Amino acid sequence: MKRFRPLNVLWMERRSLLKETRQDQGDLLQGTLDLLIMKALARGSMHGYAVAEWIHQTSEDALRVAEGALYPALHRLELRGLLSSEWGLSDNNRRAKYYSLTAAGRKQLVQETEYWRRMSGAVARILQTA
Amino acid sequence: MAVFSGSLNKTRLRRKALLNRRQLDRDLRDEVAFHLAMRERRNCEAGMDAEEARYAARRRLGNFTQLKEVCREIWTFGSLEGVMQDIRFSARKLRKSPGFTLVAALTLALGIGANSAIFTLIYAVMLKSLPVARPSELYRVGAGNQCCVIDGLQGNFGIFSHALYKQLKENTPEFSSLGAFSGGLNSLSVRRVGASAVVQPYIGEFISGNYFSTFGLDACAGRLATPDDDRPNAPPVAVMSYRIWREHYSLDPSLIGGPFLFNGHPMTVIGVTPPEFFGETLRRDPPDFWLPLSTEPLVNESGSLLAHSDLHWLYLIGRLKPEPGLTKLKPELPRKCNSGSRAKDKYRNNTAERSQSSASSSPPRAVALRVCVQGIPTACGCSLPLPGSCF
Repeated sequence: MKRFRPLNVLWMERRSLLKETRQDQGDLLQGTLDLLIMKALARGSMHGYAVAEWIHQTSEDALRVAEGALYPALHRLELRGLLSSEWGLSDNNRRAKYYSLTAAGRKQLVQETEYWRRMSGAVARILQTA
Repeated sequence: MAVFSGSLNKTRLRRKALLNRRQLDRDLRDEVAFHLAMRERRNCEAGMDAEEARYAARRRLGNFTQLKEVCREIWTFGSLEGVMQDIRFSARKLRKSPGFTLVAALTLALGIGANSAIFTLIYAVMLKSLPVARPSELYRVGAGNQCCVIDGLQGNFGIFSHALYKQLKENTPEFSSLGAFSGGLNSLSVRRVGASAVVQPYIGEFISGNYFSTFGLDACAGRLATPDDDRPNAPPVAVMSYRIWREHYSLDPSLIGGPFLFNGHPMTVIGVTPPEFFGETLRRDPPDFWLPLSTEPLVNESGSLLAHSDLHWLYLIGRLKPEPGLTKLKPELPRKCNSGSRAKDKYRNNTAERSQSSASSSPPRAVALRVCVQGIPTACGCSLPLPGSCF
């Protein structure tokens, strides 16, 4: 009769679960997703669905945000103090969580945008070589 | 600075999340539900039927349970949360088997309780260093624990008359100092001479004049009794315990040298013992006052024991000189005790008994005079015999 499951087994199960989840987020590089979210929110406060849709539409359907990864990314940014959130009513009168960029978030967006320009420019230059 | 305030903010948010974990879960559920509803409506607008739209929305979101786990992990102190989950898990398991839990808790409680009780005793009796100078040199004469006034023979000699004490003191140069104290304590009615003072009951012990010097004590205030105070016609004095000085007289320095009435007889309180000194015996009613033997006839009046050489009421404790030491003294003590003219007829059958059970096995008139190793003077006296320390 096995009544107790050793704690270390439970622990390992939990670890492997987390690892798997991180791999599944690989559609977009995490840093890139953060940048895109911040860029979307630079226009004003939005709820998560609107952020996903904005990225989707603005990229002319080229980038499709993995929605399972969107919310963890939003929460992570909020915890880092780059976003703030508050509950409000959506256009169709539903309770929704609205995110907006904080001052620190704006600063971070400028830095990351600059970094992204440099990196993508560098990659593009390499790819342009014969 | 920004980094610091950032991490502070992070900690604050995390603490909030930890305390309101249900709120966190509910918020995430609402957030995702809103997302799904929006996506579903969008799918419907694109021409899907209701059920298909719902499933498509869920598919696109992915595994909600996983999402929840990841978000929780972000918000909470990952490892701390894990530890708390483990604690909750073990608490649940323990609740499921109350018998096991009870036995385990009882075992722990009894184990810890017994250990601390035994240690408390060992510490008080054996480990705590005594508040006297060089306790290893102190020996009690005799191993008997009779109390408090004995008339006649003792199987296991341990209590002495004043005459016998004086005789032993004069004839034992092996002791640098041999002190005596009464086996039983006296109740005293004590009044400080003054306008508002009332009579209070206190506990007193009669001591020889060299009692405090035998223990190597110095007064906390004033002075302690000396052999001069123990002379027949010396002015009567008393020494107060620190506990009484503090608890009943608020450490008032003006009472030292002041007049008190002991059982109606005026005496002077000459000083206070050191705070850590509780008397020579570990007992629940330690003396409040120490009075020289010379004051005993004054205090006890007609019931005085001092002049009766056939009444034994004093315990003896001495500080042994390193040379020649115990080996020479031990066999000679019975003879020294016996040689006194007053005691001669009574103690002529003295033998040096070695057995612990001499009281029952020796002939009725045999007197065993033994030396009790007094590494721990508190362990002797009439309250706490320690057979292992005697030989």
